[in-house]
Amino acid sequence: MKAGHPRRLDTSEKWFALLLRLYPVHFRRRFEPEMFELFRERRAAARTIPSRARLWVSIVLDALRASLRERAPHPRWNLEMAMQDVKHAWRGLRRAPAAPFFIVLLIAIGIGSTTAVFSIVHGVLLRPFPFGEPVGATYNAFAPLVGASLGVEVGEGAGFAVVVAVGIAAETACPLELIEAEETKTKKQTEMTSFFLKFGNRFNINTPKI
Amino acid sequence: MKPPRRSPTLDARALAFLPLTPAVLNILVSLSADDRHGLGIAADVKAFTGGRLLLGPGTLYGTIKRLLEAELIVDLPSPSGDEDDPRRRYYRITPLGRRVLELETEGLASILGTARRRVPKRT
Repeated sequence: MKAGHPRRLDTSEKWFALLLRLYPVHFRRRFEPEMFELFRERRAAARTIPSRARLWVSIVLDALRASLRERAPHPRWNLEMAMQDVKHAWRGLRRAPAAPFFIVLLIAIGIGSTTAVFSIVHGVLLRPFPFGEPVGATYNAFAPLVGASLGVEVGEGAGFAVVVAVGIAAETACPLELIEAEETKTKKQTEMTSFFLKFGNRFNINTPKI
Repeated sequence: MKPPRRSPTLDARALAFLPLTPAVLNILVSLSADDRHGLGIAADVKAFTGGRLLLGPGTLYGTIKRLLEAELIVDLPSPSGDEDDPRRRYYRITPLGRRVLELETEGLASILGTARRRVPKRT
């Protein structure tokens, strides 16, 4: 039979045709008939089952490697480079088998310490109190830095907090403004102060209700 | 007899392709003797490497495509004598491809000479 002439494909040729779909269309259009011809020749030469198995392994690997290379946007991005990296890593592992143990140990220590530090930060700073809004005085610690007045929101039982706020105001020469708690909820702050009230540190001083 | 003078431009272009991969080297060696189609190249390479190098379809035609793009080979229409398949493309090595092959084989011969001098033969 003349090669390349249209005819029904047998099972192995169908599988090979499927493998050829890995290649880009322009490549298939140009070389598909010749690749089929080469495949048929190789298949005819492989008569025993082991040799056919070897042929298929080599054909599949060849198709994967070559199709990736044809599709890769950059010549460095191909399977050969990746395989070289894997081989290089494997040789390194065999030369120094203790290295991975220390690497894993270091990663474990790193993960453990990060978790421990975050647990402390979460427990001390981030986790909300197990009770509702405390009664007391709230003021923005950044207010003296931005030149705003030290607006102290005074609630019930805020005696001690007010004393502290007065102390801060005296130390920083910052004007002190006592605001009743309900009023401050609706009062508009200046833009900078609002920012710090939202994102900055807020000192919540809770004094026990007597 | 004086060796033929080479164009410096051709040499500069050829040097840019070195070193060659095994597939490129073997395909160029195969085409240096005669114009061949893909199947012929695969058979020739298999023959002169003693069956040690079997070019797979993807490697063979992928390399041929890159050699065509690099102008190291050109494709020719099938000669009228080819009765197997009139659509078969034949490939011919270009002067640039031949120069690349010469430079590569010179380099390999030099390495081989050094290796033969330094590595004692096992008896």
